[in-house]
Amino acid sequence: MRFAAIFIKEAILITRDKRTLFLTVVFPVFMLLLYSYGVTYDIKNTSTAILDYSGTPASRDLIQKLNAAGYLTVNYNVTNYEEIYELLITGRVILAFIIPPDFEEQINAGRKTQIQVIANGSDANTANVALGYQAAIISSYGAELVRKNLALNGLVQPSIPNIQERTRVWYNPEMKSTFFVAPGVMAVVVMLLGSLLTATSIVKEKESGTIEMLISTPIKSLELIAGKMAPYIIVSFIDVLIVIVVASLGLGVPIKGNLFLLLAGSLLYLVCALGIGLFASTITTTVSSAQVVVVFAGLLPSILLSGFIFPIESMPAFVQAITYIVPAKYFIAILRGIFLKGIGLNILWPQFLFLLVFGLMMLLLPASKFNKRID
Amino acid sequence: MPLPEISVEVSNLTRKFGDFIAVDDISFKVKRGEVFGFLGPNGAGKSTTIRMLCGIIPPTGGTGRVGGYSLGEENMKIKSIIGYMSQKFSLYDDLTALENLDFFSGIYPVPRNLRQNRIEEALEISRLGSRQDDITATLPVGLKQRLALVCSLMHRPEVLFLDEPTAGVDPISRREFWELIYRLSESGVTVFVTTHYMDEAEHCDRIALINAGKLITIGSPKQLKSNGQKILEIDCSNWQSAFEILRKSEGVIGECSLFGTKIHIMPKPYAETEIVKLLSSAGCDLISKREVMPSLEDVFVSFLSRGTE
Repeated sequence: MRFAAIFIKEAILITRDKRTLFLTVVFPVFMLLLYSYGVTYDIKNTSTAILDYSGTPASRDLIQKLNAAGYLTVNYNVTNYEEIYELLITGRVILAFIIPPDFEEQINAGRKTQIQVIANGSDANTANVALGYQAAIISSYGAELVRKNLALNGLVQPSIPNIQERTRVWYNPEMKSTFFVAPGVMAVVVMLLGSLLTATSIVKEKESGTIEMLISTPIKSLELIAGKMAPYIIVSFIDVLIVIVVASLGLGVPIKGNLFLLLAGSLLYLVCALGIGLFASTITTTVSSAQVVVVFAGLLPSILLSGFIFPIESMPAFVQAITYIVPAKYFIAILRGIFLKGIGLNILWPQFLFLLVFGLMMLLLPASKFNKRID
Repeated sequence: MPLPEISVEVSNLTRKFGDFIAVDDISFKVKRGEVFGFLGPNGAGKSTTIRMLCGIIPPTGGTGRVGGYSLGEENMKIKSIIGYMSQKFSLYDDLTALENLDFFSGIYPVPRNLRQNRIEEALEISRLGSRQDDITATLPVGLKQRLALVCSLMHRPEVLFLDEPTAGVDPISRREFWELIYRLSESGVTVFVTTHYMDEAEHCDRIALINAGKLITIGSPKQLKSNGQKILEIDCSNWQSAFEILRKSEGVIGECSLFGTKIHIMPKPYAETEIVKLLSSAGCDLISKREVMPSLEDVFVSFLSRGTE
């Protein structure tokens, strides 16, 4: 009965706060679209400059090959070094190729030749990927030259070993980064909104002093916490549904596994998120400080330590150790598993178990401390 | 079970925050149906005492009983028979007045079949009228305060704790508020109220003076005034400069304070001749000089100055 009183009050307050309500609906969709279209790990049409001192069929052949793959786009054909400096320093190109005057001559003579590649390291990530692309293009061009040269000299090549890879990408054949990003966005959005809304709603009662009135009534702290959290579980769950609908219908992310298992995992995860919010509210007395705690304990680990953006395997050992207590890491594994691989509890049970234990701990620990934390 | 004749009883109640002693070893009893005033300057420990009695914070020393139940062990029972209204009004600003009443009837909880009646009664007593569906934040302070009071009465408490209930409220609303309190006390509700308004303290059946966490004295307003010293009221021309001069000699003649254009002095022995001398040397004509009953404020000032000596 007291639970109902708190629940109804909280539900009314949620619907009355139109700005926050708007934010909880629009923010997840906005994040999902922004990350899926804006934050892409694929690199296409990297702006490139060419300084061709050679000006021969061979050099033009190479330039055409660089351009054709779609990863690099030769936007500038320049005639001197000064222009290359200018293009790099103003950031208009990421890569610059300088082809020496004796390029064709050396190739025809069957000798080794070199071209210079300058990359704009101030954008290290893009430069790194672009360098990978160009290396692949140039080495395949080199191999082609070798075969041509052998054929030209009348040599057949049954004896040249040749390994060809036949690549197949499973689970995400086109390697769409949307498929990869959507689960991460979902984990971040649910964590941020769930913990923020909970922490704010509790700390607000401290700021306004209504918490004292609540404690002077015979309500038990478990009734109070349950009554306050239940409406936010519903709101956050609606967010989960919105994200799933936008991801699958809007962005074409497949749901290969069991949808109900996906929802069950989401429910466990948002209990973890609310628990973090609850934790933040017990150790702070103002909304702004609670928000800081939520950002550091909830949001940042979900972005940085969950495998959402940065692969966990390439982190130093002690950082990897921390990732074991980040709920988002487990939730993202569940989401990618169910969305893309179609796997079930037989593989994902450790992740579910962690979320269950973590969620219960976050709920019960603050609940036991709630009364004492008041003054 | 018959209601206990003593509603609130504390002995050696103490509350420390670190090294700071907010409430220092106080003991008193409040009878059922009494309007008991807790009077003292800001930071004297009034709110801390109320918060302990309501089970919001635990005492660090001493014992207490509220409504016959022991503080600490039977907190849940205490909480179900008390009402609490704090200086912050303890309402939800973003709910409507009616929603606040609903909330309070659910939180205590009031049995379902009684709720509708109680809410209607509360609306009538608080005279919310057509504003019952207004957002609480938009209500005038006086109305908000009456709403907070009827909210804390939803479950018909035996003991009502009011922490600075009339702070920032206009005089008419304050008078109406006190009329409500009298009606409650007549119906047997014990009202425990803190205030720093002297005129409000006069409305109480008994008052306790508290300063710096210590209980200074306790009694009915009449008792306190008659136990207090007689006051010399001086009416003279040029009263501002007279007050200046008299105040410089407080050590000889006694504590001086201004009451309108008259000067109140708590005279030391044989001070009267000195006062007359001082006035004539300052060129002020004495119009009248008489002994008056001290006001509560005089009593309070005299107790405080005794305490510091």
